[in-house]
Amino acid sequence: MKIRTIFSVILIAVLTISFIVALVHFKQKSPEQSSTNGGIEGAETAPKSTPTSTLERQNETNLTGEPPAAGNESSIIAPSYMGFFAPQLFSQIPIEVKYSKRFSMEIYDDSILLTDGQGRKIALVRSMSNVPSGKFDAIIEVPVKRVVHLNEVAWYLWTLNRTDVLVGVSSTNWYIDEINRGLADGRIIDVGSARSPDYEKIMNLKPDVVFLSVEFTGPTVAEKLESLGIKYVSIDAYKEQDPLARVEWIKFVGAFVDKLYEATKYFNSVEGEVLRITQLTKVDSIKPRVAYALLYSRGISIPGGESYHRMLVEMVNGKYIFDYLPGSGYVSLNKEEFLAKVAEADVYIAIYMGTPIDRVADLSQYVPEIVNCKPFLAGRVYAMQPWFWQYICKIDVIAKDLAAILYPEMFPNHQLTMFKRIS
Amino acid sequence: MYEPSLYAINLSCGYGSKKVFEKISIQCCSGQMIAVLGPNGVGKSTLLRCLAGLLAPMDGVVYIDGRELHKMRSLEIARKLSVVLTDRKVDELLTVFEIVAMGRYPYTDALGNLRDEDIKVVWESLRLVGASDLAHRYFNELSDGEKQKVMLARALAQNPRVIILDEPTSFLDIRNKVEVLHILRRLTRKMGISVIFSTHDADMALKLCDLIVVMERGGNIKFYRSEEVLGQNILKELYGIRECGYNDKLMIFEPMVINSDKPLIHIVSGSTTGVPLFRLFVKNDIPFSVGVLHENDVDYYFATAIGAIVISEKPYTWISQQKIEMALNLIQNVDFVIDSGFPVGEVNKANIDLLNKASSLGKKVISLRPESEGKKLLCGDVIYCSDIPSIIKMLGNPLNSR
Amino acid sequence: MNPPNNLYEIKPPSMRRQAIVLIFSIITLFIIVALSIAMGSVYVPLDRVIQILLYNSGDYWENMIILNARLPRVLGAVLGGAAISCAGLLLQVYFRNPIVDPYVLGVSSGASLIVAMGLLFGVYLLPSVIAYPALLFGSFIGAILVTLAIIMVASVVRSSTTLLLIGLMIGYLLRAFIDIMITRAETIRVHAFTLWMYGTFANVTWGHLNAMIAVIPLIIFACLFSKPLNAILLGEEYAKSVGVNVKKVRIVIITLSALLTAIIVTFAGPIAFIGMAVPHIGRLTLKTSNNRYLVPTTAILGAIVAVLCDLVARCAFTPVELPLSAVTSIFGAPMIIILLLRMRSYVRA
Repeated sequence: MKIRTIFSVILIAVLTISFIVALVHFKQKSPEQSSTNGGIEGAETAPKSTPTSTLERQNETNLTGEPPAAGNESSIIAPSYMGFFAPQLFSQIPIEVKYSKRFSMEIYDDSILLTDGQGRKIALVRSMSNVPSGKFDAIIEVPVKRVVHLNEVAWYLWTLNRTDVLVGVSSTNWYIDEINRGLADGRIIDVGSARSPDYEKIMNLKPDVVFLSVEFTGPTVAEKLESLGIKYVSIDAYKEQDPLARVEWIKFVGAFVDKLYEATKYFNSVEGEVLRITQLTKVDSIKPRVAYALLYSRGISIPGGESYHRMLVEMVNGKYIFDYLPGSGYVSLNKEEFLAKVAEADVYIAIYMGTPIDRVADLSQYVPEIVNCKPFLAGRVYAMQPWFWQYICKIDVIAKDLAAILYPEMFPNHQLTMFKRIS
Repeated sequence: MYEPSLYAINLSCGYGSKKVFEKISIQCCSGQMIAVLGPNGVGKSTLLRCLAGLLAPMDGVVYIDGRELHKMRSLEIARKLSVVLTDRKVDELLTVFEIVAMGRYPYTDALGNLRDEDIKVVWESLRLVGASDLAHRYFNELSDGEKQKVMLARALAQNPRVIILDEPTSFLDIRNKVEVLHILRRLTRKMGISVIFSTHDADMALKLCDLIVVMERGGNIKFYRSEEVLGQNILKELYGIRECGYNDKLMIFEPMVINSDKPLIHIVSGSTTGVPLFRLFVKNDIPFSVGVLHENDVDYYFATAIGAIVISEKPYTWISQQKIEMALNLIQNVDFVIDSGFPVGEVNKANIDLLNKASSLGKKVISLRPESEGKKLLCGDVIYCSDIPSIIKMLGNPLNSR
Repeated sequence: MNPPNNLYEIKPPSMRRQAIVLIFSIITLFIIVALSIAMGSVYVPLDRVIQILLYNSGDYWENMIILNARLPRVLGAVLGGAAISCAGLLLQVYFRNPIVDPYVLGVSSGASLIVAMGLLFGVYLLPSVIAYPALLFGSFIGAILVTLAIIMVASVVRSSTTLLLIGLMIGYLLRAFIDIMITRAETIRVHAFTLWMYGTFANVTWGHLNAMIAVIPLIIFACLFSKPLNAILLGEEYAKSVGVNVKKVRIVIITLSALLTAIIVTFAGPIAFIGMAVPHIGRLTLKTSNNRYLVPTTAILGAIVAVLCDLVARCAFTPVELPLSAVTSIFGAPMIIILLLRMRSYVRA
């Protein structure tokens, strides 16, 4: 008899606790609801935050760096429809996919057919009544007005000035002001971690499309979204190893928000800049040797020889000393080999993956002997800034930073924005 | 009454490729109680498990009621034969009733529903073993003896013709041992069930069973009627007991034996009065001699079992002078003589003379007799002790030097 | 206490208790399921919930949330909790060992191995249409292969302890392979795999439920199998002596348990704790090990625990979803400790 009572008491207590907890969260929702005009029956568009001029907005960011070079979209006021219905414009600026092998784009009069990172066929149309024939994995009306972004890297929408379409993002530290402000206002909702998001919240936001990277989240999330009738598109940019290919996805994203043209222009400009820098740094002298590493308590992870980081180094004509390591992911290395190699390097760049790196001590706590290696003795130790991964679009800035790091005598007055020197 | 219910022909059994025993033939009639004796490891458990159908034989056949046991389905076997094993560990919350009800498994339907008839049988089984009041208690909470009775009740609930038990009395205290064996006895007598069990309590078994199966090391197996075992040194040889005194008529095992040094003490006793003294000296490793005892005296059995030097006289005969002389010879070589306070009668009053002669020889005589009585019988310098502990004090040195 | 004169009074007092507990659990299950459907990180008023459930009407998105996001998840938890706890009970009965859980025979390791291969290396090479179903299918196949191996072993060994050890070794072996794969794979993918290993009902869809329904006949069969299960409680030798075909029963129990585990691990991942703990909760509340009552009660209790923990996992710190295995352990372990301390004679040393 007694045990039954205890069992029931515990059960009721547990029920009550979870009920209270749920209630507390519902209470928290109310102010959010009012700001978005009611969760379910609300208005469909979030208020636009239109900047007065793009140049001003650039200065508002906490980036201290040179804005992208000539070709800045702020100087072009193209009517939005031109992205679609003006193929003759495209003959002047061909829209093609040059570097990326993971998506493709076909532009027609009334639609754009995309293949996303997972090989899914996406059709972008003006209205659902005018759908091209053929089988598609998703048919999406553009321009989209409500986007949930489950990707944590490569922030294209921001570069295109279209963060206004964001209604939901995944939980992470955002280094982009618009997003942080949106989260604070309640205009943008945090939907949980990208790998196990809160589907109810996503559904509540009634998104037109969800951007995610199936490589990152795993196929379960994609499957679940599909079964819930939510359209999603896989932006697998992080699988691209060529840095320019990663940036090229901006065209993909641009098609969704009617900024394909601007995206192309932006891409062309940064591409030009990168090529220029590559030329500049192509000197006949010995290439500076660069070591990239991610140190953490459980070991030493080095990007492989086919990785993005190696491409970055080669972009500025450096030599990646770990280029013999296989693959495009991270390889675990033992301490002796690591130290032997770093001892031969000229420059050391620490990869940021969540834990802050402010001083050399943050690195040497894992591998104390590292302070005796050449880059450390010469004071050429750098770390990625925490916002690096979200600012990948600014490949031109990255390239310039790297060039300045590798050839300090060539760029003496350059201010680093994507990296910082640590000591 | 004597049709065989269970028999095995040329049975060989073992584990893997190792044979434990070979070519055993055994027969069990209804109402018989059969004990299997043998030293540890000789294969009793294996034999019983084989007979019960739990172990497949390597060679030979077991028949039950005329049918081959190992060709029958478990269910059919279960209706004729049940087992009780030594393993009593059940870590589950089951009541005694539920456990005994499991014995009805061969008779209930696929879902295990108990009909009225089944319930009646369960209660009856509990009553037969005397565990009716335990019925609604948890099996875990019972004492070892109670658990064993419950398992027996479960075996009974199967309505078997044969019950096979593997060491049912091990780990039980004397009272439970006796109870269990009595229950088994009753089952054979009243209900005609055959009982085959193995045990180490040889003396109990012999006193209660009809047939003894003795398994010897080396694979021999012998059958005896229990009456035949008495009077032969079977058990002592069987168990290979060396360091033990044994009297097979009374089946007394005395665990300690005197080493054959020269005796230090001579005891004159009779009619059980000497037994505590013998035990005392054996424990302290003091060799002694005894005399004169009659051969039908209990002290005689004990003393011979222990291995003391005994001067004995034939039963119901006056102690002859010759024997007294022999005893005196022994007394010459000892320092102490102890009178255990034996009752004096016509046939053994010569022992009193022996004591007197001993004291006149200057030997120290210690008597356990009450002083008043002793003064009438004994003369000379006699030290009177009232009980064994005083004797220990008296003897002091020799005991300590050991 | 003398045997009662009237045979019909034979029912021991505990049987009433068992009936009460069973009914109580069923009622609790319904309440918890209802609560779980009504509550979530998005607030939907109760009347709308009922409206949607009964008439399938209302706002499109609300409909979608209740019917496509919550309902399949809750039903998945019901089936999953019931199946896993049944599987655990079956193995605990067979091995007569109270700390056995359904993963002890390596079935979940088999599924995990295939999932690891998929998530860590392969599945992205396939077009997305078949990527996820391939993962599910592969995971199920992995579980079944291990099951088959175990069944083959089970029909050969003599002692249940040997079988247990072999199952454990298989589990270790497979986990070793998984560990090797983890060190060779990219960190980001490893994280995705680790998340799978926690187990969750979040990704259960109606399509999956069609497959998960298969556990219902298995559970019903287990309930009807209580007679041999009870006999096995005394050990294989006694079971045989009482008429049980031990070889057959062994295979049935192992197969049943492994199938239940395989199905649930495929769709929800390996969920910790429920399989081992709920049978104990069942025994301690019913105060009996008689499987006739224990099997159905364990299934229902398992469903209750799973739904409850799933509710907490998704609502407690919304929008972050707690790992289900953590929630089950946090709720379950203290409960078991309390119950055990109250009933000290349960497990004798």
